[in-house]
Amino acid sequence: MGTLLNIDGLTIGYRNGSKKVKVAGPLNIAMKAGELVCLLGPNGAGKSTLIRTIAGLQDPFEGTVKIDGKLLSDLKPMEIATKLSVVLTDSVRSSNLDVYSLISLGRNPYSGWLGRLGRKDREVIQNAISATHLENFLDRKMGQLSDGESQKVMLARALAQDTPLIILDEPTAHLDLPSRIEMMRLLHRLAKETNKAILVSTHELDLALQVADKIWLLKKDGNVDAGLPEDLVLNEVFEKAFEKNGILFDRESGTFSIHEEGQRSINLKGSGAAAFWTKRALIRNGFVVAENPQLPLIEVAAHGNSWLIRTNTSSSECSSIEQLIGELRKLAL
Amino acid sequence: MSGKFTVDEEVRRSSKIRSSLLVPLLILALAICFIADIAFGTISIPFREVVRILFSEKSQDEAWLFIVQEIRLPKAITAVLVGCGLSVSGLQMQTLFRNPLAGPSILGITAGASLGVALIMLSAGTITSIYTIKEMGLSGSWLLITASTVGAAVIMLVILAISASLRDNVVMLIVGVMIGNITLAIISIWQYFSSPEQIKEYLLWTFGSLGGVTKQHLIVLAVAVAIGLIVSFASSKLLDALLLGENYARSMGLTVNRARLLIICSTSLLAGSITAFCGPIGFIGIAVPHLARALFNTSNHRILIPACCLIGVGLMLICDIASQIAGSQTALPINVITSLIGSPVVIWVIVRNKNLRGF
Repeated sequence: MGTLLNIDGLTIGYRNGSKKVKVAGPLNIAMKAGELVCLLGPNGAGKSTLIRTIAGLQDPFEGTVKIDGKLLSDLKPMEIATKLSVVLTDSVRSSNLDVYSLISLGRNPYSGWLGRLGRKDREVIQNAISATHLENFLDRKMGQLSDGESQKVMLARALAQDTPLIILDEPTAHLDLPSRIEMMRLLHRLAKETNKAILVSTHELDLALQVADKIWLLKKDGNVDAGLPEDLVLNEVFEKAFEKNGILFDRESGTFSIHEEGQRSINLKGSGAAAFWTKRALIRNGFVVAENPQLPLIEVAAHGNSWLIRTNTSSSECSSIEQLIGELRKLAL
Repeated sequence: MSGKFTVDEEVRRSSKIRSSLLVPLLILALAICFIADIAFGTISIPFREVVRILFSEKSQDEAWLFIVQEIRLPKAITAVLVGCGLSVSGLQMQTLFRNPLAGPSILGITAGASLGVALIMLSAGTITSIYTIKEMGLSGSWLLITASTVGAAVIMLVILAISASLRDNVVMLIVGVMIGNITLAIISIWQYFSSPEQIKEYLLWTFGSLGGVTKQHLIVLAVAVAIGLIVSFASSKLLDALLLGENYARSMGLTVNRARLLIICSTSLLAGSITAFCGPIGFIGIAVPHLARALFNTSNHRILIPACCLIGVGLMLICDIASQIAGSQTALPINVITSLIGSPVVIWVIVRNKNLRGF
């Protein structure tokens, strides 16, 4: 399977008046058909600029973007429109369009000169609608949809454009957690089922780690690290990229810990959900959980509704985490 | 596969039934309005006689024949052209600027056209009063149309250039109104230094009138409006793509700059040519597209453009009839009537949307 998207020596940036401001590059990355790639990076690293450059909405300073072996700069706008489709952060909520009309706009590159839709066009639109489960929304106006629904409609429009590459710029911004998960899961499924290459820029690190086939991590210094999510985690790439005071990337769980390192150490024994959530509560209250027999010990009962605190001098039993934390405070550990 | 196309078909069917009922009704209403517009006037002619003149071109009274054929019929046809042209130019501007309150009169496009007309009418001495332009015949009317269209296009380009850096609709609107004011101020300065006769000509023109277009000029106006409408209709696919904004339009293969230029040209030609002959007529351009969207429940320009024509013609004819009945002996300026009818529509749009974003 050959690569669908090739980025060679690409330097990107924006123009401020006549001045060119370089944001990132030179970048050398590639993408295959059927792959879901998540583009991650801190704010200001140039995610949107890269997305816009690949989509042909903005010219690169140097280097080339190739789709299907053809240079993007050699293709006519109409040809680009049949190679890649986009979901942007531009607001479309204000429009009076109903959902069906908006999705059918995706057929614009294929329809007749007045925009008349043929049989094939309608079939593709139907497939896009069923892939995104929007059957019950078709008559609604865009202004009446929730953020999550409206993003799904924009994705359906991109699907209707029927391109081998779909590019989404922060499709999960402004969405609530269930919608974010639904969107990422939908993208993952689409990449597998339709063999399309899907490139998503996002801030959802934990979701990206779960669904992405590959991650492009755009760093503050303008370089990109590309690879399997698991490899990037183990190579400490994430820790370095997001390094900031008080924020730590926990390699064990693949998440960021938002609490500062605790001052007091404690030993925790137990397993399952109860032990996991006990640990979370302890960390939030400034404890470091360590395996050291010298330390005071908390034993979590297997059924998860009793906690035993043992110190050298005393032992007490608690029936909730709230009680446990209160007890620890009393002991001034 | 069985249920696959049901939703699609249902959507299409409901809109089809709606437009299949609406269109004949609208056309019938237009025919009635058209004949009524010819029947009513400052000189009363029996209705039967009017119909007879229209269909057999004969009458017992030569004066009636002249009035109907040379004055009222051209005026009604002018109303039709104005209704189509202004509505469609308003629709195009609302889509291009993605602004529900865009329209030739609001964003200063008609002010630009006025500047073009003032340039011709108030410049160099007595040779160029509007009367003498009309005496010049066809070449003179084309001169007026060209000046007016160029004036409209220049203002539109300026506003478009500013809108590229301003994304806020309300700010955009204020800028448009201000540019319109600047244009009118320039015209005022010009008037100040012009002779009273020229100013009178110009002031009469600014009241707006459908009656000033003679049969000969009507052909010129009709050709200009027809070209504008054909170009607009041919760009309906481009306009559809622009509904989602320029970035999406580009991603769907649209060469945005070329499309924008085409739309500006046809919009300026429509608004400019009409303004040249009939004066600045307000509110039709902004109000009709909203009525068309509400009535036909679509945002597809292939349907909206003809819909705007139908509704625009109807509204313009009604305004013209109203201007004659209200004044019984003397007809009111058409601009007064369109404002009286158009302004409530604009208020309705704002109230319905609760803000200026929805269109």
